[in-house]
Amino acid sequence: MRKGQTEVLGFAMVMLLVSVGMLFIVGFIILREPSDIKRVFTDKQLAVNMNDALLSSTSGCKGIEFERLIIDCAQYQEILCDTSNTISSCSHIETAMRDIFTNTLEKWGKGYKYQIYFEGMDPMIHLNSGDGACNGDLEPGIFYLPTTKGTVFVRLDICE
Amino acid sequence: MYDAKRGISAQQFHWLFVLIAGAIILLFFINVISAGKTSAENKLSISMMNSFDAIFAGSKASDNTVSIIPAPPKTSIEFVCDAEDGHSEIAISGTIASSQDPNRIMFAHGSITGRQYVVFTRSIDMPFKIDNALFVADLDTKYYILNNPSRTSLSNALVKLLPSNITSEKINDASALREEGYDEIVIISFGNLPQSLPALKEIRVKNVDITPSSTRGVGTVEFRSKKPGATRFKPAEGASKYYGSTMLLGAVFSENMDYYECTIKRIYKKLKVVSQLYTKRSVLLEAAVRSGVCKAAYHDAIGQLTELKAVASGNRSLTPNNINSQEVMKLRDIKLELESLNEQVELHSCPLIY
Amino acid sequence: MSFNILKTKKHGQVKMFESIAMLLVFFFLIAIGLKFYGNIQINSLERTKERFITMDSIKMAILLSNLPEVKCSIQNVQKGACIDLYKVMAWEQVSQIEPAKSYYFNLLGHSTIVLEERIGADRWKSYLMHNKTFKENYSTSVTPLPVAVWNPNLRRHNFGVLYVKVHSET
Repeated sequence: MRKGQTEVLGFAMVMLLVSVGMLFIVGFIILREPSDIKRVFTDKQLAVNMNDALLSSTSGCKGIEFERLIIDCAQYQEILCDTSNTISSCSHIETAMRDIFTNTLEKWGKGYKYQIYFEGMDPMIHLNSGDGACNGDLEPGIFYLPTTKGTVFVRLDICE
Repeated sequence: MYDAKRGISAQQFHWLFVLIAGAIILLFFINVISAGKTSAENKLSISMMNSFDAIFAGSKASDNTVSIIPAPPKTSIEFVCDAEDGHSEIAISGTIASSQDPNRIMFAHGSITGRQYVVFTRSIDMPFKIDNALFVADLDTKYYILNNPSRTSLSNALVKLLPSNITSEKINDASALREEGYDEIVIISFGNLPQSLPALKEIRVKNVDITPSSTRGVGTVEFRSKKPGATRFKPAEGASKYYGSTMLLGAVFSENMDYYECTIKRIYKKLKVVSQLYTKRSVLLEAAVRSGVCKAAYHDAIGQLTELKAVASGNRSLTPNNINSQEVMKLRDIKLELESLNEQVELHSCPLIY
Repeated sequence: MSFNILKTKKHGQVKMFESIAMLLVFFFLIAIGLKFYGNIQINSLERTKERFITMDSIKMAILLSNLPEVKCSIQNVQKGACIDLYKVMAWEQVSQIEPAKSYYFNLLGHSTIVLEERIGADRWKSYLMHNKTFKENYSTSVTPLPVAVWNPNLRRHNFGVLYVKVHSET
C-alpha cells in the first residue's frame, strides 16, 4: 500500500473507534433508568396515610368511625346504617370506600386493592380499581384491628 | 552549494511544529478537565446541601427526636445567624453550596468539622406548640457542667435535657478540664464563672453562664470565649434572657450571643404568626359554641392571645437587639393564664383553646 | 538543479498543508465530541433539577402535615395524620394578612395548598390555604396527603385530602 493510503486507513480507524465509543456512551445514558423517588415514597406513604385517615374518619353511618364499623363488620354485624335497617355495616363500608377511592385514588390515576380479612380466610370486603388489575409494584398499607373473633387485617395496596 | 545553504532541515521544523501543536492540545484538555472537575465538585456540594436540608426537614417533623448523622469527610459545615439583619445560612465551607431559610429555628455552634454530628429537636411551647427547635451539635465537642452547690437542681435538670450521645461531664472545679482530643469545650456555669482556667492551647473553649431568676423557668445567660493559651475568659459579649428549657438549651448550643438572639427572634416571629392563628381560631369557636361560660373563656383567651402577639412583636422592647426581662415575664404570665382558660373550657366539655 | 529545489519546496508545502489539515480535522472532531458531551451534561443537570424539585415537593408535604398550626392537638399532644378544621379556617383568613402572609410565603413558596374535606357521599368542601403561582410558564408537582379532618365543635373526624402542589418555573 502507498503511504497516503495507509494514513487514510489509520484515520478511518480512529474515526470508527471514536464513533463506537460515542455510541456506547449515548446508549448507556439513554438506557439508564431515571430514579423515581417520589413514586416510591408517595405510593408507600399514600397507602399507609390513606388507611390511617380512613380508619379514624367518620363513616357516615350514625356518626361511627370506620374503625368501629369494620370491627362490627368482622364480628357480628349488629350495626345497621339506615332508618329502614337494611344496610349492614359491611355493605356501608363497601359503598363508602368505593365512593372515596373513586374520588381520590382513581382520580389520581392510581390502581388499588382494598381488603378486609382474617388471616388465612377469604376477605369480607374486597375492592379493586376500575379494570380489576393491580399488577404493577404494590405498595401496601396494613392495619390490624382486634376483634372477638381474632385480628382483622385492613389492607390497602396501591399500584401505578 | 545548494546543500550548504539549506539551513534548518524540514524534519526539525516538523518536530517543532508538533511540539507547539501538542502543547496547545494538552492545555486545551487540561482546561476542559479542570472545568469539569469544578463543575462536578459544585454539583456534589449542592447535592450534599440538599441532603442536609432534607435531613433537617425530616428531623424537624417530630419533636424529641435524636439522630446521629455522619459528616462528609474533610468537610466543614458552617451555621450563620445574624441578629442585626436576621440573615441566616447553612453552608459547606469552600463550596458554593448554601441553604437560606429565614424561618428556620436552629441552634448550632459556628461550624461543625467533626466526623459525626447529632441533630435533635425539642418542642417550643408558649403554651401551645409553635414549632420544633432544631439543635445541631458536633460530637467532637465536650460539655462540662461546672457544679454550683446552690444550683444543683438546675444543673441536674440541664444534664437530663442533653441527649445521651453528647459527651458531658460534671466537674467541681475548672482545673479538671482536659483537652482529651476534642475540637471544642463548652463550660456551662451557673453564676460560678471560673476565674482561672488551664491554658488548653489546642482547642476552642467557650462558656455559657446561666443565672436563674427568682421566677421559675426564667433567667439570664451570658456568653464568653477564651483565646487559645489564655487562662481567663474574655469579658462577656452581653447578657440575654431565656424562658423555658428549650431556650436554655438553645443558649448552650449557640455559637455566641448574637446567634442565640437571632434564633430567639425567629421564635418570636413564629410566635407572632401562631398567636394570630389561635386568636382567629378562638374567634371562630366563640361564634360556634353555645355555652356562655365557654364563650367568656374564648373571649378572655382572645385578649391574652392578642397580648401575646404584641409581646412577640417586640412593641415593648427597650432595646431592639436584646431580649428583655419584661417581655420574658409577660410571656410567662400569658402562658399561665392561657393554661388556666384551657382547663376551664375542658371542664365544660367545650373545644380546647389549644 | 533548479527543478530539484522547486520539487523540494512544493513537497515541504504539501507536508505542512497535510499536518495543518490533520489538526483541523482533529479539532473539528473534538468540537463535535465536546458539543455532544455538553448536551449530555445539560440533560443530566435537567434530571438532577427535576429530582431536587421532587425532593422539595416531598419535603413540603412532610413539613405541612406536621405543622403545629394545622395539626390536631390536645393540650399540646399532637395527633398523627389529623388536621384541625378550625385551624385551617383560621389559616384561610389569617394567611391573607401580615405577618402570616410573608411568613408562609417564605415557608411554602410558589405552591398551592388545598384541603378537600369529604362531607358526604360524593360531596366535598374545599379550603384554599395557600396559593402562589408564577405568572406564566411553570410546571406543577402534586402530592396528595390523605388526612382525617377534625371538627372540634362537632367532635367528628371527616376524611379529607390535603393537596400540596409545588410550582416551578420552566
